[in-house]
Amino acid sequence: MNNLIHLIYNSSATHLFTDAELNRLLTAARNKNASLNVTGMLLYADGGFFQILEGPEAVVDALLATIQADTRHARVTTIIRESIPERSFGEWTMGYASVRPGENTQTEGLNDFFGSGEIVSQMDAGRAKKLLMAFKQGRWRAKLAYPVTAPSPTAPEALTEVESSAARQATAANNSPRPPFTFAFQPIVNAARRQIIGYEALIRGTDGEPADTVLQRLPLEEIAAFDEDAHRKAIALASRLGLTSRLHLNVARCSTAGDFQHVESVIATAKRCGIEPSKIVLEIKHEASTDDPAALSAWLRACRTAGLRICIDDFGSGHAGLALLDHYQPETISLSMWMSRSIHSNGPRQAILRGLIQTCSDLGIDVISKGVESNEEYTWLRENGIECFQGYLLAKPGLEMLAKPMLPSEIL
Amino acid sequence: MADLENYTFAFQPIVDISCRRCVGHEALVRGPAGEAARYVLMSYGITETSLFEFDAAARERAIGLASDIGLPGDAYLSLNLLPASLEAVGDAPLLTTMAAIANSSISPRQIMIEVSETERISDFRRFYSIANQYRAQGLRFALDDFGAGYAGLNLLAEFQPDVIKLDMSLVNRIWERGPRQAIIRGVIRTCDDLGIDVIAEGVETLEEYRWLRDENISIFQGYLFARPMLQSFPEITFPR
Repeated sequence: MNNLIHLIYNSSATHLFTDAELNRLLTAARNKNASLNVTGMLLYADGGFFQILEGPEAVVDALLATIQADTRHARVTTIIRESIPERSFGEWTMGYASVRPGENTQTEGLNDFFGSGEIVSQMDAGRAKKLLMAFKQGRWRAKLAYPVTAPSPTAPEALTEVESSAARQATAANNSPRPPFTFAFQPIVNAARRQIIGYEALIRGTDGEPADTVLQRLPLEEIAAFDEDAHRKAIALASRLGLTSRLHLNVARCSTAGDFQHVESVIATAKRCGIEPSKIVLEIKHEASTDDPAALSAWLRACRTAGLRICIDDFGSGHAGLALLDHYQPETISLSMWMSRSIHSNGPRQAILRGLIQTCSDLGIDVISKGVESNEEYTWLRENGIECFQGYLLAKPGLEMLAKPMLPSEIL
Repeated sequence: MADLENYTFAFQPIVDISCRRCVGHEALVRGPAGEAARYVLMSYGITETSLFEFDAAARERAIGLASDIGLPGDAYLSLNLLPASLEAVGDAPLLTTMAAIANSSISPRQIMIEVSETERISDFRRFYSIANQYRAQGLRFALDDFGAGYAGLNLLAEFQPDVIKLDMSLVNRIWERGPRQAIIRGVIRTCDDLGIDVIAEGVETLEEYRWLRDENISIFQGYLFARPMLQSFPEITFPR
């Protein structure tokens, strides 16, 4: 059986198209699609394309590959690709519409799609129609693609942190059964303000081995005590390195009901080291939360009362979902890696993130994007309102040093 | 397991206020005297493995019943599916559903399959590929209890259903709960971008209804409109 699918994408034109150019494009597309038995609809608005392709699965996928390689547009984002029981555009080889009223209406073969609404009224009420209407309402309008320039990382001018080249200090507690460990620090940057807002302390072996090599050797029952010890050590080390911004600490396990010793110990250490408790951010992953939501709430309340900040780490994975924002509103969330992976070309992730960004903005929750790897990802996130970043693109973690980040130059 | 023969269904309408009409009915498992679904499952002692069989058999029975009592041609029938059953035995649970549809007066276009967000789906790709296969035959898919469970956003990134049903816990007292309002506004935004219909479930009060309506939600299910009715399609009350 020939699996029929529709594929809906948007893209940015690399230059503004004239009527004549659009007409040529459309004629070529119609001829090609007729021979391939592909139907659909092409929309154009102010330098952005939006196209629905319907046809046999293998044909549409191959056609998309050709389309992606076309240099007349860039940033091809697949919004939906799914099986359909029948075509919505069986009558058209390739319908076309330009969104601005009056634009292109004189050109033969170009119709006033949204003006007359003729095509839409004949369509079944499936996803293709809904997305056409969404486009009409201004969604999925890609902007004209900026000229492609080599990204040139520039050092931010206004970085408020002091880089310290403090000599590596042996911090291992050698007479303890625990494996020796120290910390690497990775900066978290507010790209809009071009400021370092904090550093995350990451556990490392004394020669920079990854955290797992330390944690794997740790007996399970030791985790809570290790956590407390690790946090004291991270605070002291950060203080010696001259930290002036926030310090993000990972909590391996939130304490059980009524046990606030850990919180008190963190605060006491911070005060002794001259760091205000409000500069300490506890990052909590979903695995760290206890099975008892009431105990977790009490623990979080105690942290907040003491002036510590909370960041829900890895949001979007495991139990860290939307319901959590209903039960508890942290100061900050950091996005799970999958959300920003290839975000510039993944429609569903873009839609999810736009919704989440709106929710967080309504609740006054800061969003940190972690693990951004490419300039394309970074640019999409910046354009869509994410301000805070942490990742290799900006800076690798520095072993026992406050690494200085580079900001990708803003291309807006 | 012979006692399983006794379970039946209640139907609860799903209404679209923009056209003031019932667009579908959800089939809900009930005991012979209208006992809740969990009572059926408990008293008949359904085990983990036989749960999948029950899940598939229940859909067949619901289709037969809805067909017998005259599901209107312009309304869909919403049926629950345990996604783990697809992971365990492939698409057999949907094959039997398609066979039941073929033996009824209902068309595949009138069937909506609901998958709960609170159910773990360990193999997204497998689920997606099976769901897509049945989509090609006209079935529609809904993600149920959205916002309540683990994997909502994660699942949505891999699989875009036709419909999302907002969980009752988010809808409850929505008019006075800021965080819930912010979450629902965000979800609506995401769904608009992906061409997904949003259904507000468990709507019980006028205040809830008005808040959701003002955010442009038009499809509702809940006591405010109609309670589930045993073996029949109940009348709908439209709020003023």
